[in-house]
Amino acid sequence: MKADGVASIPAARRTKLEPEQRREFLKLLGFAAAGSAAVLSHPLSLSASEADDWNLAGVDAQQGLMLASIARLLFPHPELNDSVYVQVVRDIDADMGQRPDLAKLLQNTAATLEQQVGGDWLAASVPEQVQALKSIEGGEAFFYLRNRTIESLYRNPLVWQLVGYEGSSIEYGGYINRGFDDIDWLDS
Amino acid sequence: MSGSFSQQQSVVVVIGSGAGGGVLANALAQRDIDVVCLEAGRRLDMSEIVNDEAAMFGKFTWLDPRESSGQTIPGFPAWTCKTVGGTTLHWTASCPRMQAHEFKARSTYGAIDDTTLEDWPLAFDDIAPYYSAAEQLMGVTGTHGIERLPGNNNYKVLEAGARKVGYRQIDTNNVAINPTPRDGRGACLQTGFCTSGCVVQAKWSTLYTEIPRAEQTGHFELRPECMVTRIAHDDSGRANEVHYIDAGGTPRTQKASAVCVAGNAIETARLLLNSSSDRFPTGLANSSDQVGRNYMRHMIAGVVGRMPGEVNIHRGAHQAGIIKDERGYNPDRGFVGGILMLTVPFAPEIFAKFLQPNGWGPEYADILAHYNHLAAMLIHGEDLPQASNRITLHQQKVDGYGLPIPVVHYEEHPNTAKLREYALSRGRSVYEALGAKDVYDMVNVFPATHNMGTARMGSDRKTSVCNRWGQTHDVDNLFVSDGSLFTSAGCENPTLTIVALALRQADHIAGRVGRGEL
Repeated sequence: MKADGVASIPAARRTKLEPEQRREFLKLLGFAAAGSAAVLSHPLSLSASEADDWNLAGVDAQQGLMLASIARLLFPHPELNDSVYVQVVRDIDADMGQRPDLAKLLQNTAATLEQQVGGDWLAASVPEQVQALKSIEGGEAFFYLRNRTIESLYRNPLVWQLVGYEGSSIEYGGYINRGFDDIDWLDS
Repeated sequence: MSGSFSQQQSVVVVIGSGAGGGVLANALAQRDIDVVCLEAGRRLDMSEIVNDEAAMFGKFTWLDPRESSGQTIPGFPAWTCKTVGGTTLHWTASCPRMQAHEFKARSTYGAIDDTTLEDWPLAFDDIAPYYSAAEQLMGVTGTHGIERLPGNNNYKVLEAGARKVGYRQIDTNNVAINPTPRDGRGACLQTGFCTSGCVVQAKWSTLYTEIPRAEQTGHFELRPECMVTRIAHDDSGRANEVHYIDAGGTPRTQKASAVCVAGNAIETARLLLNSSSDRFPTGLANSSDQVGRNYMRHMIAGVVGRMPGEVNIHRGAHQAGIIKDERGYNPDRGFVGGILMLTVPFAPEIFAKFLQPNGWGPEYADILAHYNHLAAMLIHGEDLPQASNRITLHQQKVDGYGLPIPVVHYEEHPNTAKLREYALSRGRSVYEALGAKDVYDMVNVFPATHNMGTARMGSDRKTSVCNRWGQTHDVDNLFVSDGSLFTSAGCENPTLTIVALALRQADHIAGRVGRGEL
């Protein structure tokens, strides 16, 4: 039995960050400052030349930018740097290696969406893009994109940090001494 | 040290190593009865158990194909486990006893259209001593002098809201989780990963209790990664062989003096159906045509409150929090069956998928950005047995072992729909009483984890598969040893009752072995 193993778990404690410290910490982790011009004016602040460097197998730069912008439209967190959404594209690219039908499904979907916004997806306004996405809700491609974005985004430790999920706790000794019962607003 | 038995030696073969199979096998081995346990899944090393839900899902979940039919989750009708320890790796360790009246469901509730409701062939008093033994074995809090766990934040929210709406029976539940070191296992550190396997072994699982203890007797051999394909019988109709495919893919045959099936309600029924013969053309022990029928899974729904302050729901033991006020029989509510409300946490990914199954956009993302403000409960309600809710074999599709895959069909009874609406409104009121900014329902999004009834016990061999000992009516030395036995579902998590029934069955089998009958 491993009962004696319990004692060897590090007793490290992660202390709660004050709001100011938390913002600094988030910045260090690659979060954009909330409300920055880039994220408000356009869902993506990336360029095609940057996308060229992603080195994806089945997704070209233009399509990659479009997929990243869709991921941000689906689950827009203004504090998140575009790189977090680019990770969604990398995961889609990896899926394509497993699912031969996926590339075609997404190509057809891209064509439908571009038609909806009258041509260039990245040049369209956010309301136009949202309207276009609504038109494919309920379809197979939308289901895939929503699910894939969730599994990529909400398994990402950067996103956990943002929303306040603390992930693996055993290396800190669980929460028995780190706030499992620290709620302080119930009596007020 | 572990026993080792030849395939030619007639032993008791236990199929499955979870709450039913693991407990039964150890109880027999402790009495010097030779047991071979065939387990379809792999034996995880403790170093493979980590605080990572997605990783653990892949390590212990039963992922072989199953077909969904009716109101079941497409492609994944049930979340069962394929691993040494079975669902005791994944379970929350919630251990409420079933209530006395729930063993007399037909007498208590009366005749209800479109159900096959019956009383159990045993009473609460028959099982009470085994409940007590099971609680002691597993170290259930709030029993036998074992203190209860302290409440976590999610519990404190549940309790405060429940008191405001007038509930009184609220506590941190009876859970098979050590509050202090006990029985060679560590104390709960409130890691928040109960359902991903407990790293500190505070949560009882047969993986590190019953299985190694059985091995120490020398009367038990575990064969992991061995998928049973068929149970065969001799000319007299007694089970005499268990056919399986071993870890290397080689077909094997183990001689058996008795066979006990504990593969969880779907696989147990599937194996019996796959074991048809000239004598049992519709499936082994299926002269009643009840194998696979009366499949029950509980009404399960989530209620999530967006609270005015931080909750940090992910910290702490999952179901160490319960409201019991609604569990009784109270037809004034407009339905029969009881309701339990229990604390439950979810990781951000699960909320993102299911808070609104089609949710997206800025408002939805804003809810998720306030993950640390969410409180949640899981509601369990009794659902009623129906002949048409059943496990059948797919006519064409086979799995990697070449076996027809199971089709899981479930439709909600109108009583269950009424129970659900009532339960959701009561659950919502708990969070609204504390000034929740919003409350969300999570309905029809979870795969079934409580699977019951598919080889049920009964006094009448025409309407049941097994007798009060879990022995099949048709085959003298064939037993069912898992939740398939449940005559009705109650509203409680089924594991404690499965363990109690397994201990009771072990007494019965040992007695028969002692008398030379098996």
